[in-house]
Amino acid sequence: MANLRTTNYDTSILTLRDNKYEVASYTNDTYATLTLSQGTLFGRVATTDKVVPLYTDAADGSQYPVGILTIDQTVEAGETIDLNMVIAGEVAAELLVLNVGDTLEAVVDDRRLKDWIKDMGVFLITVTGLSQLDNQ
Amino acid sequence: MKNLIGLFILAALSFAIGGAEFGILAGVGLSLVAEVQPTGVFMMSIPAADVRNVFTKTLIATYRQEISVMSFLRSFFPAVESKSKEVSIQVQLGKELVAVDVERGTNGNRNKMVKSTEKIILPPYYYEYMTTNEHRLYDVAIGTQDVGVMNTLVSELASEMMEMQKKIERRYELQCAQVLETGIVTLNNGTNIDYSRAAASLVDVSGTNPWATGGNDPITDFVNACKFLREIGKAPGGRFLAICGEDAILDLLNNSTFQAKADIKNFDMDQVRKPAMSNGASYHGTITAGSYTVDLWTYPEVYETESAAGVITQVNYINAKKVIVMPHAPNFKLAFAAVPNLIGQPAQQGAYLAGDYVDNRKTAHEAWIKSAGVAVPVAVNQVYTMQVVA
Repeated sequence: MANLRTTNYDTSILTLRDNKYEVASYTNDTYATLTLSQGTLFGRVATTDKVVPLYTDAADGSQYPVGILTIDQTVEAGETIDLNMVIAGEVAAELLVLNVGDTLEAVVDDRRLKDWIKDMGVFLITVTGLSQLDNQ
Repeated sequence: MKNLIGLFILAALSFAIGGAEFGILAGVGLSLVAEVQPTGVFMMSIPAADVRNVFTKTLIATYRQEISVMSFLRSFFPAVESKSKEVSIQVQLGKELVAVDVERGTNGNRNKMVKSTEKIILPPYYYEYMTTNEHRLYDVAIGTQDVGVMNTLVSELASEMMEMQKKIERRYELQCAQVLETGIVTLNNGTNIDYSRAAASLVDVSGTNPWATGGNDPITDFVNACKFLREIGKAPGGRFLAICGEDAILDLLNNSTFQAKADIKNFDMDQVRKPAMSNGASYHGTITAGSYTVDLWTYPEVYETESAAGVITQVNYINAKKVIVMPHAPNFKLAFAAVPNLIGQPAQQGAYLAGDYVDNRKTAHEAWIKSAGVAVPVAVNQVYTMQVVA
C-alpha cells in the first residue's frame, strides 16, 4: 500500500434552483455497457419516443434538446431504463456535457443550441470557481 | 588454628578502620587464609589481585556523550498526535479574485468553492530496542541485590532509552529537512512520500546566477523566492526567512554585489550581524529583497550515518549548496499516528510508545520505543528551495 494516497473532490451541484424534472425512456442499443454522465444533454427520437444523447447534426428529432441527465447512469448492453432528467430551471452551465464536436453555438434549424435550451426552460448559469485542487 | 583466626580478625579490623595501609596488609592476609563463618559456611578469601585496584586507582570523573537533538526545523512543524493508523489532510487552494459590479435587479455573480484534495498518509514506523541485560550493571544488580546498584541501573537504562528516542527525533528533524529541500520524505520501507512540490518552487540557479561569482546579484533570487511564496503560496505579509546552507551563506557574504549593496551609507536596508543562536540555528541578520524582507538563518546541525565497515559520516540537515525560503509560520505539521499495538497492552498516549519484553526461555530482557510520525507540508507551496552553489 502506498504511503500517500490522493483523492480529489468536487461537490458541484448541477441543478441550482426552480427546477422541474421528467423521466424519459432510454435504450442502450450498442453491444457494450455504457456510462452516461451527469449533465449530458439529451434529445428525443420522434419515431420511437426514446431519448438519446443530443447530436446537433441528427435528423430524427433528437437534434432538439429535451432534458439534461441529473446523475451518472450505467446502462447494460440492450437494456432499456428510465432516466431522470431536468427539463427546466437554473442549471450549472459548467456541468453541461455535450457530444464531441458540439458547442452551445452550434446551429440547428437556423437557431443556436443555447437558444433551443433556453426555449426548453433551462437557464444555464455561469460561475466563478474560487477554489482549486492541491498540487498533484 | 587459633593463630589463623587471629590473623583473620586482624584483617577484619583493618578493614573496619579503613586505613589504606592496613587494608593492603589485610588484603595480603586474606589471600592466605580461609574463613569459617559463624553459620558454618566455608568461604574462600578474596584474592589480592581483585582488590588491588581499589587501593591503587581512583575514578575521578565519568563522561557519557549524550548529544542533544536540536529542533530548529521541527519548530516549523507543530506536532499533532492521533490514535489512528493513518493521518490525512484536506486542502483547498484559493484564488485572489476581485468582485465585478452588476446591474441592480439582476441575479448577481454566482460563485462556488467545491474543489478540494484529500491526502491520506501512512506514516513511516520507527521501532528501536535494546537488550537491557547487556548492560554492565544488570548482572551486578542481580548478584548484589543492592538498592543503590539497582537505582543506578534503572537510571542508566532510562538514559539509554532516551538515546533511542533521540535517534528517532533526528529522523523527524531529517524528515523536516527533506520536506523543505525536496518535498519528498524518503523511506527505507514502503514508498517515498512525495508531496508534489511545485516545480517553480524548486529552482537551480547555480548555473545561471551562482552566488560565488561577484557580479551576480543574490537579491534577485531572494525576490523570486518571496514572489513565489506570496503569489503562489499565498503566504501573507512581506517578511520571510531564509535558511542558508553552509556554502551558500559563505558565497552570499563574500559576494561583492551583495557587499556593495549592504555598504550604502545612510540607508538601513540591510543588517547583517554576528550570528545569534536559537534552537541550534544561527540568525545572521535581515536583508531587503525588492519589496520584501528576508531574515537570514543558518542551521549548522548534522546527523551521522555509519557504513557497514563502521565509517561514520557527518551530514548537514540543510544541503550546503541550497537556500530554503519560507514564511515565519508556515502551515506545516509533524503528525504522529498510532504504532502497532495489542489489546490489553498499555495504550499510546503521545508521539512515542515505550515498553519492555521479557523472554524467560532465552533469558533476554528487551526495552523498546516506537513511533510513527511524518512531516507534512499542509500548505505545500509555502516553501521555496534554490540551489545557489554549483
